[in-house]
Amino acid sequence: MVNIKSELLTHQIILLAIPSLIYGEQSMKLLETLSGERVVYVTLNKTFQAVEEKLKKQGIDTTNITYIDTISKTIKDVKEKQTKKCYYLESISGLEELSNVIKEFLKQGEFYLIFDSVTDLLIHNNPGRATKFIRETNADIRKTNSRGIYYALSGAITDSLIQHISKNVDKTIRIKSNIGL
Amino acid sequence: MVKTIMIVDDEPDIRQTAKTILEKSGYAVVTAINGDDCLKKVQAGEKPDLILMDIMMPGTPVKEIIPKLKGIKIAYLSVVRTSEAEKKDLMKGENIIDYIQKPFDIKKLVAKVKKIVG
Repeated sequence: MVNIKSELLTHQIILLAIPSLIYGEQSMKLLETLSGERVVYVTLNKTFQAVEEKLKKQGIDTTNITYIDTISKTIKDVKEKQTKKCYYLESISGLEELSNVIKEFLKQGEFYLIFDSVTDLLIHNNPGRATKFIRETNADIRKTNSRGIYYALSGAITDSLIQHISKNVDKTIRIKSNIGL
Repeated sequence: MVKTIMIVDDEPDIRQTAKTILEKSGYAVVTAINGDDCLKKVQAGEKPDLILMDIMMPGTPVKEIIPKLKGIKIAYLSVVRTSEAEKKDLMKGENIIDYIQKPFDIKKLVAKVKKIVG
């Protein structure tokens, strides 16, 4: 079993490669292990409301989770830019805006940044831009005591991307289908 | 009369796979690479009986394209997850008749298409 919290004590930035079959379950399970901690959750494949709904159904306390939602403004009308719970990005390819928002959060104190997921980042942005964004975000995280966790889907098609991203993080953990977190 | 399905998706694999299977099932199929392309084709005279539209694509957001496609049945194809309340809200448009989560089973997609257009 992987103890993510322990891993993050010695590795500031981790890439978690998760098989697609258990991705939904495992990506939420991590939040259970970080229950009570301050979390900023960047979502590139679910609306913030979808994540909240799923976590609450699983009995996970979401009080300390703030979201950066890259989806909602694209698919529906969202009047606000920001609420207490969520910052709404204009578009999933707005990496400069995303970078600035993360920087602002980093100024406000320590937290666990969860990035769900690099696979989606690479679907919506070219590899050059995506890699530059990850490098710059990592550099910003390293100036603080915050921790970063990137999710990625593992599998034949995405493994070369995972190898590429691995060069930019402190540790890559491959979740096995039958073990999980 | 042969029914026409328009597949609007920025992923070539999705367009091609769905096109092949739906054509084998007896439908005429037109594809578009995004909402702007879909609108252009409809305005140029395409009259699909059903549009299967990816909810997130480059170009003009789908939420801005949908109101311009009045009178045409549309089913969303969505790789993103929404809450139940958001899904209900997205389905409120008068021509929105289904919401299909990706990845979908292609045979189930064909069954849904048959149910909607015959």
